[in-house]
Amino acid sequence: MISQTTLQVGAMFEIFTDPYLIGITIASVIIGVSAGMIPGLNASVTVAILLPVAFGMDPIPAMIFFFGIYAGAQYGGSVAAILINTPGTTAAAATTFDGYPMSKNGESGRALGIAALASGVGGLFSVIVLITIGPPFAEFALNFGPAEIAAISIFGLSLVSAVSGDSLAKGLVGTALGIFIATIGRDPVSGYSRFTLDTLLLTDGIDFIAALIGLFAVSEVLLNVETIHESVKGFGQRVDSTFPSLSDIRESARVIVSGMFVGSFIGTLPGSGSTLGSFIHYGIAQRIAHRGKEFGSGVIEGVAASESANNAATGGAMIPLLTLGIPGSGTTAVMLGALNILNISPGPELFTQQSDLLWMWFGGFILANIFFVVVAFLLLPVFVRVLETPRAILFSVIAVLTIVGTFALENTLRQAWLMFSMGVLGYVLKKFDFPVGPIVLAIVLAPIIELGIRRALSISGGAVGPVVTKPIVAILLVLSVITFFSPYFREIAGGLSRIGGSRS
Amino acid sequence: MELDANTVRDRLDRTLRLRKSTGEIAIVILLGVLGLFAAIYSQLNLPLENPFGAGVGPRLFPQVAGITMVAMSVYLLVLRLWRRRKGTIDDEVVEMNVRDGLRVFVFIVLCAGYMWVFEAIGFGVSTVALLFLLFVTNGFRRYILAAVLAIAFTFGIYLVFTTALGLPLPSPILRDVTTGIL
Repeated sequence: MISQTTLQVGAMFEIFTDPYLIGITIASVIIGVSAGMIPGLNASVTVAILLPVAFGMDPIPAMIFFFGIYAGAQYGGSVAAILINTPGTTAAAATTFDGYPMSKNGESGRALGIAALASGVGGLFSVIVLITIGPPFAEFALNFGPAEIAAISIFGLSLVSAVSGDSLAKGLVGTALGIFIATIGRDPVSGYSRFTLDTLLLTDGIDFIAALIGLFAVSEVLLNVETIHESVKGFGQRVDSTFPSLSDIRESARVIVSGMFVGSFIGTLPGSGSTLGSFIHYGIAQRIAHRGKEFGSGVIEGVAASESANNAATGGAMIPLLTLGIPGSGTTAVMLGALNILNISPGPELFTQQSDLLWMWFGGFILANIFFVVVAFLLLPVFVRVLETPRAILFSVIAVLTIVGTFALENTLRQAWLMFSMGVLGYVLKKFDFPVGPIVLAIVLAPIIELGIRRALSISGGAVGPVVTKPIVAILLVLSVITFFSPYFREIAGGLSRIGGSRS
Repeated sequence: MELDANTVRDRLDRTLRLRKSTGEIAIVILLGVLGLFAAIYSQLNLPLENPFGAGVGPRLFPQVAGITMVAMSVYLLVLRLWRRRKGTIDDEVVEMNVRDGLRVFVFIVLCAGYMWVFEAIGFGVSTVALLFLLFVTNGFRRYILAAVLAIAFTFGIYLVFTTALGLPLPSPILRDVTTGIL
């Protein structure tokens, strides 16, 4: 008898023969790689700008489109890192250490080629991790009630410490601001109006998709407008063949494989993400690579180490989102926005009731990781011209897209005004190093937590004890406390990495 | 008082400097006031108990958020002031050229104006005008090309939204044009 899993894996590979879905994947990868190259347009910003596209699409092509952008942008970030010493995404920051020196030595094609190969291999491995760990984890989560769901979301919110950058207090005040923003509008349980100030504008609250677009995309546009006259050195340089040679592959194989495992593991931990994965693995690779002691001077293994780990984190980062509905990072929060537009609730039921969708998405994610490598090998010398696009045109068009896209949310400009206000707020906060990630996470998670707690307390007759002493709830609350203090662990890891760096 | 071109240019080329901690202090004060508003508003207008049964009502969450905002703002404020006094803060200076600041301000005003007239005059005309003005005010000075690109992008966005995604945009002119072409 053919098992259910075999059928699902078969469904996953259906995408490989569907010209429409293949076309969507190629288009999304091209958009993702092109956008990822441009400093300021990382995966979350690009997906946020394009969220309204989901309105006009079916769930399968829509999510494949966003997975393609995610994977493509993750690689695209390395192109700007290598060519102009400015990582297109923060996850590619470690790629600048060796990528840019290689570019200065006239080896940009070599660096871009190995970056593409390492990213592709890392990304593919991460999808395998997602496929392997996701379903059993979702099965376990099927038994969760409102208390457990609230506890998981509190765990997600505790990740504020992981996305707060340097200051936990700034992250906390941002989280509280996000919770406040999330409570604006009509209370879903009692119907009481909260902070609406009797205005029509605030009656239905602030749509979290509008908040996402504003805080991620518009704030970034405004930051770029401020420096729009500054030219970026390195634009327009010629890139030769990006096919990696056999000797380069042989030299980098060891760090690519270790990056796959390290990146996937770190990506699976909610809130950690690809930036942390690439930096930690870069530190590890310095010890295990053939030329580890020369890292930072333009060593091809350094590029491979950073890139394989940062793309290996992409699939893992999807596990908390798809199995529990908890976004652990800005990018996954935006992906949740896409699922929301498509009326799909991520969580364990997704794996049992809509598994066909899920396996097609996985297939699309695999395809995206293959296609961006192909795009990099064949078309990158052409695509690097994206870096020459006048920023005045690029960011003006993006501004229009955010407004028109938000208009499409409910066919009125109400949410567009709120979105743009959020963008201005995000711009001011970013200027003074207040992270917007915690605000976004709080806007997304606060309603889930509030509803979960209120339902659980309603079931327990208002008694708190029976709710917090449930085993899973108790474990998750303890984990939340541990996660909350994770920056201190990271500080220790960073210290060790710095010691390693100074030795080399 | 009349200003000659050189004076205006000099003023635009001035650089505004603000200590980062001063900006942070201004933001935490604003957030603290907002938190205070949230806490007091919740206390005065929302019930703590669930009005329809056991459990908590609509006050708990916003009030906790408000109190947290106040507490963290006070903490950050005291910390910044203390460190400034002790001189232990790494207080970099945020610089902004008047011209750059003005560009951001104009960008925001143009986008706000666009949203103001979007539904009244339609997507087509307002988007072409906005894009042209944004291109030019952000330094793209090839006016004819800017106008051509503004029209092309407007048409492209309209086609993607209405034709490919099936999302209607208010634009009688473009609707007639696309109906004629397609």
